[in-house]
Amino acid sequence: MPALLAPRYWGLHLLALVLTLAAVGLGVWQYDAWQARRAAEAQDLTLVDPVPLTKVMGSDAPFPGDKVGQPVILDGTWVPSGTVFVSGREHDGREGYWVVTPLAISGQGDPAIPVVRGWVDRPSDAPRAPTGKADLVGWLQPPEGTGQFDDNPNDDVLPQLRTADLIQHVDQDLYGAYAVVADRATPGSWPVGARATNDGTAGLVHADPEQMPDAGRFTALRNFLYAIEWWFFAAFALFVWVRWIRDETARLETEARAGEGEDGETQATPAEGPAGEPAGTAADGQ
Amino acid sequence: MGRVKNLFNVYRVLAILVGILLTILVFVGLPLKYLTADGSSLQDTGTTITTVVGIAHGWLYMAYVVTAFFLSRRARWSLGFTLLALAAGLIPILIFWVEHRVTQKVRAEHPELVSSGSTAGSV
Repeated sequence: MPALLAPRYWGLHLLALVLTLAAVGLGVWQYDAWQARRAAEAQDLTLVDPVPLTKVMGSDAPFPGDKVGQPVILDGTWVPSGTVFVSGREHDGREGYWVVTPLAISGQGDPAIPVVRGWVDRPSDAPRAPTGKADLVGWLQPPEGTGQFDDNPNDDVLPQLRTADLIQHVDQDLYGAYAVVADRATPGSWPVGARATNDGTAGLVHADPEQMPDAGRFTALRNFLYAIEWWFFAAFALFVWVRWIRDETARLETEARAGEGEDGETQATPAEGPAGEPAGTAADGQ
Repeated sequence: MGRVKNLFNVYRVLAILVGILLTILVFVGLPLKYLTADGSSLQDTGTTITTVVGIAHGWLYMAYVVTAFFLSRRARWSLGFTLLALAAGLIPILIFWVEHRVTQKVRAEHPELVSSGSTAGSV
């Protein structure tokens, strides 16, 4: 064993140590990322004061990842012709549709944000889409998109709230986000519930927040899986290191014994043996 | 002895799977995710491919590393060649060449590790 502490082995020990520590560190980093994402999601942003949408994101900005569920004040004009229904949404165990109407922020023709006004059994049950000015609070959500295909792009029923599909139904730009009309907010004079102006929810069942798909769950899962992988590699590097130490010790002992047996004959062994051995095996490397 | 032969075959299967997944990840998933317009459906597809293939590659690569290491011990590869074989699972395309080299090498130096029924004589 002490023989393996000779300076010519230091490089290998250092490499093993660095690889092991690096893998442990990378695992910790992925684990932290996983925890941070989960914490960000668990944090109930619905308890935060609403802010105007334009303070949170611009119309052509990517979705701000830490603002999932942020209550936003939407002050704009309905675009009733852009109303769509999103299929496959559950309410009390029944499958129905989300009713979504874009709201231009703030005048006609300005970029619009799709607003989930509520839930219905069938699209034909939905009341007429609202028109005119509106002022309401909505929970901000990232656009959906898991690659599900819209099997009939010509009607107003969509499988998902995806910007690329929605853009076909309006004449203006769309925000890279959507909002669900909020039915509650922090205390204050926010345009929520009865104080909202023309929020378009009349005749619709409120779309419950727990029905909202939470963003990045899969990504967070990926971080967790990567953490496990890194720790596995750390353990494996350790295993290879220990095994190499064991084998090398056994080899040195055998060599030493052989050296004793033949006595004076193989005096060169200590100097040549270690150098000769790797050279022999390296030859079959290339 | 049968287990040893299996090791060689398992290595080859894993190497090719890891190689295919890495190729898809690097030449399809990542370009779609990072080179397409933000929010487009192509980008969504790229994100999905990157996530799914990335996770699958990660787990298969773990199995590959273990298999390659034990094969390297049986076949007495040099440290350099062992490290090359282990790292190849992370470098696109390289693994296909390494798998080819490993096959040649094992056939030439350790025919006893190759099962007689192997059909991959053409590789």
